[in-house]
Amino acid sequence: MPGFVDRRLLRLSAQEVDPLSWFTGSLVPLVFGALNLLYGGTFAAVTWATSREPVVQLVGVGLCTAACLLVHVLTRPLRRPLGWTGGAVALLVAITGFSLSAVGYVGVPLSIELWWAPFGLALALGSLGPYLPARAIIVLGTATTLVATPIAFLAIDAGGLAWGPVSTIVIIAYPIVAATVATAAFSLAVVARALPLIEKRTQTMLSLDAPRGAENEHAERARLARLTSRAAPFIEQVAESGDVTSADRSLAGQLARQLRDDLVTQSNLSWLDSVARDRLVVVDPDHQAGRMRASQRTALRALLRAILDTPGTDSGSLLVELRAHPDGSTAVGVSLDFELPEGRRVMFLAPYYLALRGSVDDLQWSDDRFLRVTFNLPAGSPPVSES
Amino acid sequence: MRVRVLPRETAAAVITSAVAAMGWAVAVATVLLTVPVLVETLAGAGRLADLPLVLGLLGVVLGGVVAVALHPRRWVVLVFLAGGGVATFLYQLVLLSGANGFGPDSPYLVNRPALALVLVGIPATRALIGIAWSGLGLVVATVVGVLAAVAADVPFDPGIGAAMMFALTAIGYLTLAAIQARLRRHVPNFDELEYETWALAHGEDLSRRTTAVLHDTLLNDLAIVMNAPDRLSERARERLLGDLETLRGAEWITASANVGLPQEDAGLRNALSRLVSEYQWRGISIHVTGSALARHEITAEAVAALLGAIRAALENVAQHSGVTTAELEVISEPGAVTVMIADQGRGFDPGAVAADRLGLRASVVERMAAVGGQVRIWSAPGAGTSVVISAPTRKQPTS
Repeated sequence: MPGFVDRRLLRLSAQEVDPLSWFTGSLVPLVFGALNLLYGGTFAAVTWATSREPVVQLVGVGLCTAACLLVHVLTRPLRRPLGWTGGAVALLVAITGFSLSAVGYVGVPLSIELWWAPFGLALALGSLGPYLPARAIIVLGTATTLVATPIAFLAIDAGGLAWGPVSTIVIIAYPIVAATVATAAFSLAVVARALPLIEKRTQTMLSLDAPRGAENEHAERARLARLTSRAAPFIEQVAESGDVTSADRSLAGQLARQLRDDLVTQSNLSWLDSVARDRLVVVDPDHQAGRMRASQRTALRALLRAILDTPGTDSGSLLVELRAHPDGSTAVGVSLDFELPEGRRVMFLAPYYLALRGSVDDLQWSDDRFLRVTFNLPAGSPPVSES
Repeated sequence: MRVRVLPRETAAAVITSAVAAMGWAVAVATVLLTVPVLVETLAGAGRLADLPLVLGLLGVVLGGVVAVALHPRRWVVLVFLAGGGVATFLYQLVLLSGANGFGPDSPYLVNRPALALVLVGIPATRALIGIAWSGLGLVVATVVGVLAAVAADVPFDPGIGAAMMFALTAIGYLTLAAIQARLRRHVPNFDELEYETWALAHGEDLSRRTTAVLHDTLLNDLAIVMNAPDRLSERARERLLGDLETLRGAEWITASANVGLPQEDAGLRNALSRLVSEYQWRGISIHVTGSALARHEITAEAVAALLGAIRAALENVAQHSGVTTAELEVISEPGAVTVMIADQGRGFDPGAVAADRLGLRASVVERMAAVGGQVRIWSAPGAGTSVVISAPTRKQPTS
């Protein structure tokens, strides 16, 4: 299996490989947080009478749940990737809750097999699954196990348990280890299966002849007929008679100017103008739109169409600007006075943003009411036909 | 490169099947972590003699999990559920039996291999199928537990481990299924959008082709008429009629047809037409003669230099010659295209032009020299001016 030697399997997260699958995927930490609350809360309630500090258990449950909620917040669609730091912070919060719970059960007879805290920590770890690469999950999960297990062992062992010390350690560590292994396996499995599928698609070229060939040709014939409707009969008449009068020369001049204007206008139109259709302002003095690859065009066109189709959008304020930089790269900016509430805006535009992020560099997205999206096209980008 | 987006159905299948991988991983971890607990607990109970047997039975379960992970087919899972069920039954029977049997107080240790039965399914493409496999595992684990308890004559205590694993597996599948259902509502069809992009590109390609052909036919034909004598030559008439036929058939408006005009050549000829038109608007009547219709393969740099030089020469006519007519002759030669601009104006003495003066020198001579071309100027006061500009081409011109 060549996939197992591909280092990217350990270095890419499920979200990086297939971002669209996870833009509503913050459901995972929410569900895990709810499970945490349910199991931890139930366990704390059942042991309320025997616990020395029952409130501490609730605080611990709250912290483990908060860790899941933190992952949820940090992985909202338009945020940057979670990264090691975000994952570590969430786990630190959960470890704090775990430790509080352990301290709260000091000297209390406890069935550690059923203890909620290792399970809560495991759920916090599991909530990272879609957002961190397997490598980070393994490292963070191992570190969590090595930190949390001794704390719990030292606190809980004082209670005098039925299990021996090795068994106690293993039973405490089991949910955390299992979560580490399961989460890493999940990340690996998604990346290992999705990556070849995506990369295989990049090798699949659609034939330029195929898409709407007949439709386009029909439209082009109509355009040709319109462009030549005056000049062609005139040339035919002159060619057949063979005589050229002053009036003919004058008319030829008029027709030539008109035709030239039409052709220049047509030549200056880019694919962006075909999206615009008077609904957005395109500023592209250097004709940089033609340098965008097919994937970039698709992603940007989809975003623009989504914005234009959004109810309440003031399409007159939508500005798309492309500027060439001296180093050969191109800066692309999209700005719009956009009054949708942030939640709806995120849900509506996130898929387009995520698709665009997979196609361009340095994508930035503002959070204020004015939507601003900027990114760079590197120098030397091939045109659409070379993609 | 295409948009990096998996089709939603494919993505759903990938993610759902990843839950099966999680199950295998947890099953392996469960079996392996049972070993130290088993060793310590059996040693503490003075039953180390049973250790090889129970470790062997755990090994059978572990081997089954690995087999399923390596060959995740339905029949392999069914064989594992059968074989693993038997191994789990024997494992539980050994632990539950005897004077020092682990009774209802220790379901944790007794139930460990049963968890593996619940966790092993096949990579399901749909959440319900995954849940069904896990449910089948739970049934097998429960039946095995009941049979072992009956055989050992102890009360049946399933513990919560197996049920919890089933619940977690089901919640995992259902959560991911819910995510996928939401995605289907929110994510646009990027395949369709991508297809539209290619269709637009195809349309643009056709438009560019039409523009190029119109430049090279109709626009040039109009220029010919504008500059023609009162009677068209037979060759010019044939050219006009031929061009009309090209436009009428429009066979080149297909994705596969090749118009066959090098872009630079079309650019040169179109730009020449534009230059002529521009100066006619400024009051200079330019008669274009020679092989203006020939096609050349010429570099973009040479085209730019040639056009700049022609413009400078025409500017000279407009500003200094004192006449309103000029001749522009295009001469095609092997390896070169030559353009001569001649006027019958007041002329000048080339030797009297200061060496440091820009104008013809910088605009024409040096510009052409930079691309391997050359410029020759003939002029004398009162005798008009002829500027001959040559640019290298890559091959023999064709008419």
